[in-house]
Amino acid sequence: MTSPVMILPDAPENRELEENVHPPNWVNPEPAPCYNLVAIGGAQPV
Amino acid sequence: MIAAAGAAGLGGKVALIERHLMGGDCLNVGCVPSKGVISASRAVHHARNSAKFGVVDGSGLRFDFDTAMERMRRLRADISHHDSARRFRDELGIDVFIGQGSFSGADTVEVADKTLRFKKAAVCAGARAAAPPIPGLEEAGYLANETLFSLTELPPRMAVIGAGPIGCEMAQSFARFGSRVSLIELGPHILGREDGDAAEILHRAFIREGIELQLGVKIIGVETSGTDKILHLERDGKRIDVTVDAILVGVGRAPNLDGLGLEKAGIKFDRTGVAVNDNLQTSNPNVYAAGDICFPFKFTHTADALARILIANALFMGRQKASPLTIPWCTYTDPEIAHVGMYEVDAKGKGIEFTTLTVPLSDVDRAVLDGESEGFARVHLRKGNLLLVYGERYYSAVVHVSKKRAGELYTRPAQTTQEDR
Ligand SMILES: Cc1cc2nc3c(=O)[nH]c(=O)nc-3n(C[C@H](O)[C@H](O)[C@H](O)COP(=O)(O)OP(=O)(O)OC[C@H]3O[C@@H](n4cnc5c(N)ncnc54)[C@H](O)[C@@H]3O)c2cc1C
Repeated sequence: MTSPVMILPDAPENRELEENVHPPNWVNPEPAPCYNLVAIGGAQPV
Repeated sequence: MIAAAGAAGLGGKVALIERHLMGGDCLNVGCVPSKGVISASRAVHHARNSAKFGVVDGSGLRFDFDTAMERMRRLRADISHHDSARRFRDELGIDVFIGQGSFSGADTVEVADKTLRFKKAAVCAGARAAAPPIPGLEEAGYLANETLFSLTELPPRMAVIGAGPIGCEMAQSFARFGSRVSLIELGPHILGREDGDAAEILHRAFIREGIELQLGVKIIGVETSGTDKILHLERDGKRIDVTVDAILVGVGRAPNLDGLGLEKAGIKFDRTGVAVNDNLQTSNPNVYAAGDICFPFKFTHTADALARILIANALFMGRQKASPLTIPWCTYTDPEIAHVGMYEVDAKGKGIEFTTLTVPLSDVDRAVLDGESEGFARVHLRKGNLLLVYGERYYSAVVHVSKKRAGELYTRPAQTTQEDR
C-alpha cells in the first residue's frame, strides 16, 4: 500500500481530489516482465 | 500521462509512475487552481466597478475568501476524475505505480521496491518553484505555487517576489481580494519578456488597482518580528523596507531532477533540466523526455505537444522534431496579454526586416462599448509577405494582443502563424 498524502486544507473536496490523484489505499500492481514504455511523472491529461 | 495514455491506446504495455499527485502541477497547484483564483478575483473586481453600467451596490460589497477558495477546490476536485489513478488503470489498462521513480540501470526503473524493465522510458517529471537564495527567507517562511492554493485566510499584506506571469497573475488576484500587495522585481519592468507596450498597459492597471510596485530592487534579506515578515530591499543604494504577513515566491521554475537516478541510466542533465536532442531523445537512446523537465517553454499545451512527439519517436521510430513547434502563451492578468511568434527584439536580432501593424482597441467600437478600450492587437509581418487578414497565413508574424480576453482572441492567429527557425 502506498503512503497517504494530505492535500491541505483537510476539506471534503480535497479528500475527493486525493481519492482520485493519490488514492490512500492504492496498491501498486506486480510489474510486467518488460514494458514498451515506462513514464515517470503523472501529469498531462488527455 | 499523455505519453502513457497515448502509448497504451496504441496497444503497448505501459507503466506510469507518480510520486505525488496524478495530474501534476497543472491540475493540482498550477493552471487549474490559479485560474479558479483569477476568476474569483475578476468577479469581485467587476462587481466593484459596475456602477458605470448602472449596477448600484447599495448594501456594501463584501468578498469572502473562504467561499472563493472552496469554489476553486470544488471545481478542481470535480475535474480530477479525468486524471485519476483508477481511470488510468481501469479504462486505459496502464499499470499505475505510486511512488518515487528512480533509474537503477540503462533499462530499469525502481519504484516502491519493485523493478520495472523497459524498452523505452519517458522522463516527464516536471518542475517546481525555484527558491531564491535570499538570506532569512527560508526562516521567515514563504508560499510558492505548491502551498498558495491551500490558504484558508487572506493575508492582509502580501509580498510577491517575481513579476513574471505567475507573480503578476497572483499579485493582481490577491490585491483584488483585498490584500495589500507589494510586487517585488529585480528587473526594471513587470513581465520583462513581454512586448514593452503591453507590459506598460498592465503596469498602469496595477498602479490603478493599488498594487505597490517595487521594480529594479535587490532583496538584501528577510527578517521576522512577531508575525511580521520584513523584506529589506535596495534600489540605487537606498534602503526600502516592506512589512507583510505572507511572501509568495514566483521567480521561475527548477526541474525535478532529485531522486531520478539519471546518472545510473547514462542520462545527461544540468541545472536547467534533462538534456534532449530535437527528437526529445536523451543521451540514453532508449530514454526520452518531455515537458517542464527538459523544455524552456513551460506550459501545459507545450508539454502535451512534446509528449505526442515523444510517443511517435520512442515507439514508432518517428523523426518528429520539437523545434518547428510554434508556441503561443497568454498571461491571464486583466488585461490579458497573449502572444505567439517572434518578439520584435528577436526578429531584429535575426536581422529580419518587418513591418508592424498595431490596432488600438480604442479604434474598435465593440471594445469601446465593452469598456475594454485600453489595449491593442499587434502583428509583425516579414517585409515582402502579403498579409491576408483572416486568411490562411500570417507568415513570420508575431501577434500580440492585450485585452481582457486576449487568450481567446489570439487562437486563430496562433493556428496560422509560421515562424522562421
Ligand atoms: C501557478 C501556475 C500556473 C500555471 N498556469 C498555466 C497556464 O495557465 N497555462 C499553461 O499552459 N501552463 C500553466 N502553468 C505551467 C504548467 O503547469 C506546466 O507547464 C505543466 O504542468 C508541465 O507539465 P509536466 O508534465 O512537464 O510537469 P508537471 O505538471 O510538473 O508534472 C510532473 C509530475 O512528475 C512527478 N514526479 C517528479 N519526479 C518524479 C519521480 N522521480 N518519480 C515519480 N514522479 C515524479 C511530479 O510529482 C509531478 O506530478 C502554470 C504553472 C504554475 C506553477
